[in-house]
Amino acid sequence: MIEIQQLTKRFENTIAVNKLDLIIPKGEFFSILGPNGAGKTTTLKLVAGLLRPTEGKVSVGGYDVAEKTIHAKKLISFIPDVPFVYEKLTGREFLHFIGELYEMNKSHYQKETEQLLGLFHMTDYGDQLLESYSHGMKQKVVICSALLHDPGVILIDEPMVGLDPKSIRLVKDILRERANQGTTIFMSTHTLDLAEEISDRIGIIHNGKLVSLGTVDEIKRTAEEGQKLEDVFLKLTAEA
Amino acid sequence: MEGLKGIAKAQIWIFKNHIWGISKEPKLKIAFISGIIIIFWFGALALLYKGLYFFSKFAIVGPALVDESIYLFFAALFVMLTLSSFIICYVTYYNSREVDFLFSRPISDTVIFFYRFLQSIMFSSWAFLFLGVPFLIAYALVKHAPLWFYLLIPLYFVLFIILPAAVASITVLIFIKFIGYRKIKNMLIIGTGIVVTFFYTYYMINIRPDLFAKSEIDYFLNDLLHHLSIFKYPLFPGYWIAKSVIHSSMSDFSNGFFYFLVFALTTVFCLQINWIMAERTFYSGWLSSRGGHTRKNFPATRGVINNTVKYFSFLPRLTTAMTIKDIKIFRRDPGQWFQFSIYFAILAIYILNLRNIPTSLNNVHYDMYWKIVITFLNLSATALVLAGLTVRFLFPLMSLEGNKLWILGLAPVTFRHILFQKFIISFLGILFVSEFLMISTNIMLNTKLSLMLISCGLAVMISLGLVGLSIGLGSIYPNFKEDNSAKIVSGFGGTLNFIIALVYVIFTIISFAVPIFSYEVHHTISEQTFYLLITASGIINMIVTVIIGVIPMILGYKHLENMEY
Repeated sequence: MIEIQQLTKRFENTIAVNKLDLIIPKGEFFSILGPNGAGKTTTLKLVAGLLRPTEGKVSVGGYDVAEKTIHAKKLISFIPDVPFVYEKLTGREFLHFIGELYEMNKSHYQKETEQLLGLFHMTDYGDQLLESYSHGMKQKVVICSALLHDPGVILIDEPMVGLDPKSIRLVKDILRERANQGTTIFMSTHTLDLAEEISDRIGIIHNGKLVSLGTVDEIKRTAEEGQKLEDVFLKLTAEA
Repeated sequence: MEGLKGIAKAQIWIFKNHIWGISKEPKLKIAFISGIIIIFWFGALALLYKGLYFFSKFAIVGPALVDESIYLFFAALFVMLTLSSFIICYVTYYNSREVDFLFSRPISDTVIFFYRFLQSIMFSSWAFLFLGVPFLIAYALVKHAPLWFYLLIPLYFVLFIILPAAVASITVLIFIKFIGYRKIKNMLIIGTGIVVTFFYTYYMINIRPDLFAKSEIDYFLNDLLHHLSIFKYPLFPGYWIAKSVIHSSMSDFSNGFFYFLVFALTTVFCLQINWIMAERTFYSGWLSSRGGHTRKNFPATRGVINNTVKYFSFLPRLTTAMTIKDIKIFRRDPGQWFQFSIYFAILAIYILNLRNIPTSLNNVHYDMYWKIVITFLNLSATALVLAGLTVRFLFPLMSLEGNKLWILGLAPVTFRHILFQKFIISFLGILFVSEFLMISTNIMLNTKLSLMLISCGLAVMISLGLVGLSIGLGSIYPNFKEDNSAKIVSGFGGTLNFIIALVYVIFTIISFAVPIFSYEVHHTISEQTFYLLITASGIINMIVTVIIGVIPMILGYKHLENMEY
């Protein structure tokens, strides 16, 4: 579903992503881990089409993100780490607006809106302006907006920031269920436990390069006996 | 004064980094902007000098007229600066994330207040710099003021920008303390309504159209001066500075210094009141504003907008969705529509005043001249208002998407579609305003039908050009870091927009006015030549309108498509 070929992104003198090759098949839950500044968010944004590659190519659902942008975007949802939303719209209005942007059937997106708001216990807040929401509530609304149009690919950057434990559990369950139903999930996180718990495969990125790729067990097998994922991660991302 | 040194240092570093950032810009861009600013400033000086010189040459009343203009100028500027400082102080004190950050640090409230107050002064001072200083210099030149008068100008500048800000700041602190953050917008509306009603009633009762039936000098000496005396109220600060300027320009140092001292001491007094009030109320007022976000419900199925959407189902869905979003956001932001309503208040005053202008003269020859002058002055006024409206409200449209632009960037829509939607909706709005103005003002001026049709046609064309220019340039030079549209407009792109809009409007007006005057008034060209020139003007202006309106839109769309988030 997501195909990344020799993907490179340069910002002036800094190479944020360096000749990345990666294939994430349909229905896989893939997590990318790495230290701060490793290139995780840049990679996600390149896949989402929010950044343009310096070299290389990204395809989503067979569509080149740079060439067939609209086709690719119809398949993608992106959940950023900071939920910037239209503060003067209500939660419900924001979701309806997203439904219109994706040209969903009106009664369908209205029904989905109520279901999603109910799932996140936000029904009573749906008609209040987003400016009155806490960070966590805004994050929930953004997650709802990402799930609303039933995308084929969900890109997530640190999804659990600002969420309470109950909501974290709920998001994990929802994402895992969606992956089981065939949605491809590409998640960036610092939380190793989270990645270990719900991911099918993990990639560790450091200085823009993929330094390890595989299931959790496969990655742990590369390390010494008894070492945890955290130990492997720290060893792989240690500075030279 | 904990924290003062830290804040001052931070501001110096910010300023240095800002200058460093500017130095990294292309030299041509810096030279161009600097050149524009200098030309604009000297242009304003030249215009003001010409105007004051024209007044000074009137028989008998000339010098008095020049002095009356000083009273009027400082009175108007003082009121305007106070009103705009009120809004600036309100936003700067209570609607700023920087204040949230500063209050979480061990910095005293008064230091934070003093820092924000200084920022408010800096932000509102440019108006005096670009209008007040050229006016003072022009006045000094016309009155042949002594050399030391010019040395006083920086002092007048400093004092005149502080007092309105101090008055506005005191008012804001009082409002927040005794009325409360949430009710302040309602009070603003009520207060504005009261002030407007008062001035309108005073105008209707005291300044009547039949006064203009008397001769110029008679009217001036008996009536106009009397009505302008409202600006010479002895307790009004604008009066003191005007008196100081007038006396100083006549080398009457003692009286000039006296009124200067009155103004200066009042400024110091207001600053002291400001400081005392800030010590007692600033922090508590800020705390009350933190709970200021409304928890009112806005049901998705109720309201005028939600219920009228279904009648626009023939429009593309994206267009409807974006338009409704923009309307709701605009309606729920009182800062925006309050400034919008100020424009319309000025327009209302302009339209009401039109009936006082004589629409015909006894002399037949001058009658035609007068009618055409009035028609084109009216068109110019309307076009300049449109230019101001488009720059102020349309240029920031894309920038106001701000950090939410990722939502549109991610959606399966092109920026061409988004830009086109904004263009169509804005054009319809501006067209409605411009045609309403043209038709209503031409009716009030009793203009002949042919001139009315020409002005209405020109208004359509100018609207097209100005809307495309503002939205296009707003997409080429967006500022996503600002959520204050006044600050967005004050950047390079907004300034460029304003200048091009001004030049375009002047070019359009002149290209039609010249052949019409030549034929109808001076009879220097034949009918055939007249129609040829009018046709040529029409074609050239249509081409210019397409260039002005379309090219920025294309460049804007390309810029947005290639943008990264």
